[in-house]
Amino acid sequence: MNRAFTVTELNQRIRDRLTSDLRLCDLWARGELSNVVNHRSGHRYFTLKDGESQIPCVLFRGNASRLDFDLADGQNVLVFGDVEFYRPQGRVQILVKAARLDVGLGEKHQELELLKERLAAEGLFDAGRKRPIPAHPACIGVVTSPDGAALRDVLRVLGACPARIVISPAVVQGDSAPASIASAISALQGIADVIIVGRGGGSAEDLSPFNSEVVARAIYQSAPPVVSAVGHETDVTVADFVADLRAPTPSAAAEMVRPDLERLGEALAGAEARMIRSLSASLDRRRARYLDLGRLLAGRRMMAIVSEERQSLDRMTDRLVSAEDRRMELFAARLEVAAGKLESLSPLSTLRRGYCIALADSGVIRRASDLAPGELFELVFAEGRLLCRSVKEMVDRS
Amino acid sequence: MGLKDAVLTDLSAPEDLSLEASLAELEGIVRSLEEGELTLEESLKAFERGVSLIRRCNSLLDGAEQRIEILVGELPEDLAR
Repeated sequence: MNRAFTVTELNQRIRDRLTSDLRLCDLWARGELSNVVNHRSGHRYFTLKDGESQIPCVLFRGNASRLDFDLADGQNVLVFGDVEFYRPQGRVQILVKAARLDVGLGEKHQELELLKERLAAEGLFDAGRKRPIPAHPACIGVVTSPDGAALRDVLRVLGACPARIVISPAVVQGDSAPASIASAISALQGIADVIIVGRGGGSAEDLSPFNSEVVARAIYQSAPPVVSAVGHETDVTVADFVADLRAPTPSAAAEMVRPDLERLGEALAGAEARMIRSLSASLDRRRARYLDLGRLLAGRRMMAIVSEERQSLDRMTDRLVSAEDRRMELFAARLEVAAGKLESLSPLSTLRRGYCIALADSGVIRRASDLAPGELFELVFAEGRLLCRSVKEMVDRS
Repeated sequence: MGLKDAVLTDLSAPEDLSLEASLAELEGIVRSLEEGELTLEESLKAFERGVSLIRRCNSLLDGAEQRIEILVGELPEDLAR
């Protein structure tokens, strides 16, 4: 067996469980009154029932005094309150905060349904027409009661933000409310970049102004997008359907509309970094391109120059070669001529013609008188030599 | 309006631009710089403009304090400061 709870502990557990369920608070319940007890303390006790079930209710003096009718058995009523667990007696009951006679509500309900159908058919509720909320509005408009808690919640959550906040006051309860709300929305046209429409603040407030056609059309025709912070968790009004965005509370609406300053700061720093990076990357690229081009240019130039030089070199070589050839030819020609000349000048060819050379000790004899009679001398012929003795000089007999 | 045209024509002084407009223009400048299609001169001009926009946005953020107005009637006492 697990540990056993005391009754108190058990009841506390149940109570905690019930009070933590948000769906069980701020709700409306419909039924018939029975067992109404008007206690002398001023508190009212009764049972709310329908065909199959019932639930005990308690209405405390303060709230009871605000009723605009007297509770009596058999009445059909609407009560507004929280489900609570009365621990001492282990009883689930409704803590009633407000109550209304449920008279002709069937009709009102019907009317509301018809209105919703009509507006939906005209396209006022279309998801496609809902505009996005601007991320950085320069001006935020608030339509609400200037004395209500909703306004203060919105202002508190918005805090210090770069946007201007403009309050367009409206009466949010009673017969004049629909027209007042509608004109408050119109008054912000051309001024606000986004509009929050909120209730006054009391959770037991009548939401019917926000179910009116006048307000619905004003929201639909608003150029700046509208965030509605009107309905309860369980009560969705026509205004909520038409609005561009629906918030569960005025604080939540303010959150949705407020520019995210931190993210903005980060985005700015990011933008700066990106700009610096791309600019310096592009500068680097350009520098590299210029260097490359420069190198390319220099390379080409060199190639061109080298190529030119090579060609001149070839040309000169050709010229040199042909010049050399010519020289050789000339040389050969001259040589031949010279050789021919030499040939003819050569003593050998003279000797071959029959002449001979007379040689003595004193050398070549040119004159007969150079030789003494009886002197020895040589005679050189083309072939061979003779040793001779001169006899005597012959005198010419002429 | 391409950034090229923007860089060459007269732009609003940063002080006159709203936060939203400044941010939109800044985003455009960053994108253009990253795409790399601008000439060197255009890049430098765009960069300068971007820097002044960033300064403008930062001053808007830093100087932020709550400014409330009411369209009709007087501000409730607890809100008027």
